[in-house]
Amino acid sequence: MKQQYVTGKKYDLGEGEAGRMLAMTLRNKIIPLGNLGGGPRLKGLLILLLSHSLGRIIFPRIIPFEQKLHRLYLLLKRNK
Amino acid sequence: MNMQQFYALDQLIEEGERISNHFDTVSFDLFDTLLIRRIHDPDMVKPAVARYISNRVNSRATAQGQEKTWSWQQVQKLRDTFEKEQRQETGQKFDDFEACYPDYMSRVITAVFGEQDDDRLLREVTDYELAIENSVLVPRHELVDWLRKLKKQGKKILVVSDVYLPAAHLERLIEHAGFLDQVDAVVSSADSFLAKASGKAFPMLRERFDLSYERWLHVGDNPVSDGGRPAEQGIHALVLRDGLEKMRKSLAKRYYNYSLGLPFYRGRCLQQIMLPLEAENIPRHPLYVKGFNVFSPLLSAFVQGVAEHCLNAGIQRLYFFSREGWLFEQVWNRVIPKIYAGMDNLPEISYLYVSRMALAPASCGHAGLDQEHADIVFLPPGNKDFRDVCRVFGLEADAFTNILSLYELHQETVLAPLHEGFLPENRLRFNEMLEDEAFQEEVKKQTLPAHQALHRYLEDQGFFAQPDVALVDIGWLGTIQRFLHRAIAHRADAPRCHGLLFGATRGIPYPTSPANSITGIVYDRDRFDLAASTLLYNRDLFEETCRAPHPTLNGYRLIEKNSEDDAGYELVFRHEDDAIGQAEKEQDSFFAPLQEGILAGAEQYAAAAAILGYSLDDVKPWLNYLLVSRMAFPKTREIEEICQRHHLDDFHGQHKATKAAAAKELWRCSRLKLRWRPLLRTEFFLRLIKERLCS
Repeated sequence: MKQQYVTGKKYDLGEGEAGRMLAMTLRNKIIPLGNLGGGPRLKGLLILLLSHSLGRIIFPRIIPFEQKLHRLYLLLKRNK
Repeated sequence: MNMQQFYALDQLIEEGERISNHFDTVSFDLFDTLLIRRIHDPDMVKPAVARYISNRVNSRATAQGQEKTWSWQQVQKLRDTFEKEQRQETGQKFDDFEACYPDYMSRVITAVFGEQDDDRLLREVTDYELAIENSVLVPRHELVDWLRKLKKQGKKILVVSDVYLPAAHLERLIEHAGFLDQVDAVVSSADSFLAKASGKAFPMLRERFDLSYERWLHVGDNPVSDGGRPAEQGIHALVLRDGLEKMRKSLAKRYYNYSLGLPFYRGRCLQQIMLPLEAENIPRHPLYVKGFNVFSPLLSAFVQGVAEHCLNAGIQRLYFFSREGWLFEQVWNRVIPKIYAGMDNLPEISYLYVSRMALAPASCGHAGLDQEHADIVFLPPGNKDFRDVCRVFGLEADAFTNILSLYELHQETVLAPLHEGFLPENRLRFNEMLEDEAFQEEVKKQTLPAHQALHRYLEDQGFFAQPDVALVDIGWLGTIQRFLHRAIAHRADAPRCHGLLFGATRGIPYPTSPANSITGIVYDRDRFDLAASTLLYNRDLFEETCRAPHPTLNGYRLIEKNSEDDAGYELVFRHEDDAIGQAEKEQDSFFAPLQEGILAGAEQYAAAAAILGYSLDDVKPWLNYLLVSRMAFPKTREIEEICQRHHLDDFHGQHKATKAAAAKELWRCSRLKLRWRPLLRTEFFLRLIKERLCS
């Protein structure tokens, strides 16, 4: 059997747990799967899926602008 | 300024190696540089320590007959207050607002415990805090390898940190990370109150170690403390701003923030903290990965639920039933002391050698064989006639020939409705025979030695020394506990038996009473829980996963006591040299990586649960998700990888039922079906919903 990693390259559980969570969430909308504590909110899950799958590309590119982005983030938060 | 910033670790090391010849001293920042944390916020370890202190003081109060006095939130608030006060005080004398852990923590201890054993308590609290820190710290192996190379080149290696822990504590963290022997000195701002943040630490270091700024290289992660400040002094600084590390922490933070509002994410957040990092994360056997990511949280949370139950009910003694209890006990030893650190009232645990085949005869030695227990024999379709009754209850069938003929029965008379030739009147006659005194006398005569041997074994295990005992098993009907309780119920000192099962499927009603009950921790049919009921898809998988690598117990043999030291009993285990024994061995070795992954995961579960302070209820929605996604909607590859090769059960007979249609199971479907029938899993799940609603 092919060896695997416990922590996937995308810092996920093995490979593709976030995708599996999305599939289960969509399935749960069609048939009741039981008590999942309200389940994961779809918006949050999509953000997580994006972070896991594109994080390796995005984070190294935005880190040089971290302080500027942080200031922008604080400004947006204040104006919210 | 002599400061260079890098956005990837390999670039920094490459540049560092290129310029290292110009320097004879290299100082490293510790946290987020040489050591990274599994958690996004270092302050997350503080509540765990507050819980430890609270547990200690409340256990002491309970032992003295007083009420609980300190909640962990109160302890945490006190710590924050004293730390803040010290920082304000330091800020008046120094440029940096630094604090020193032993100073303010000893104030917390005095305030909480009063003036008693302060030094010992401070030492124990510090040990716990450092143990928790160690569990979340991971050495960044590429950087540590470079540090080793530099040391080999004869450079002076310093580790410098702005933190509240003094250097002696940091040395313990570095020792745990495995590179203390490579470091010449460890310096903390907590000792001198001169920090890197203000730049005051660098002149102090130059003076103390007689260093030259021109020949000094500093490596860290903070652009100000590890970049600008040393560069101002003329020290060459390399600053690491790692994008991937930022990504990892950002994900951990997001899971944590989501978990505050959505219970579903609590277990997921816990698993994010559990993940192995850096050199810990090496390619593993697929079953190890399954053990770590799926079974470890399920079994660790189960064991946590068992501990919660015992603490709430005040149960002081706990027995893990063989053979699944073998793994439960190991998970317990890894998880519970960390989660409930500081508690004195955890139950004492031990492993009890039991099995249905061993307990069934022993249960008849005093009470005989009644219909309720005889009926259990005919639940598995493999059992057919009186010979199966004798096999299960350890009876010599020939001795019953005369009694059988009195009731117009013989040994081969079919008594199970699933088999051809079954006549209901035969079963009625069999039930009448169970009422016969001569029959019962013969049963008792034959099973008395096993009964007496069991009692000697249980006495040896201290079973009768407490009023309440918890009996932990995987499930499902509670038959082992049923037999055990029947064997001891007549004794005046018999303890109340609290069965705590991973899953209580209750296929037959359990004779619940205040003295004998079972509770399903992860799944109980008495509580409607559709998601958790998916473990019914493949119960054998859970049994094989937890099973001990030793043969099953066949019985308790009474032996003569020649001296006081003789136990007077012997545990008889099944032979392993036949085909069944060999198949069992093969199964054990097949699942060895799975068990290895479970135990490795349990260590991390304990640390993560201690930090987050989660109970079983907190992680239950995630456990339900794991069960539904892995048991009811597994990928075809997963079924192929993990499905057990052999499952053996001596209780089940060897006869083949003719009337029973083989139950359709998802996990037994062909690969072709699993891969190409897109609605197959949904069909099975709808069937499960129907069954649960009808049951």
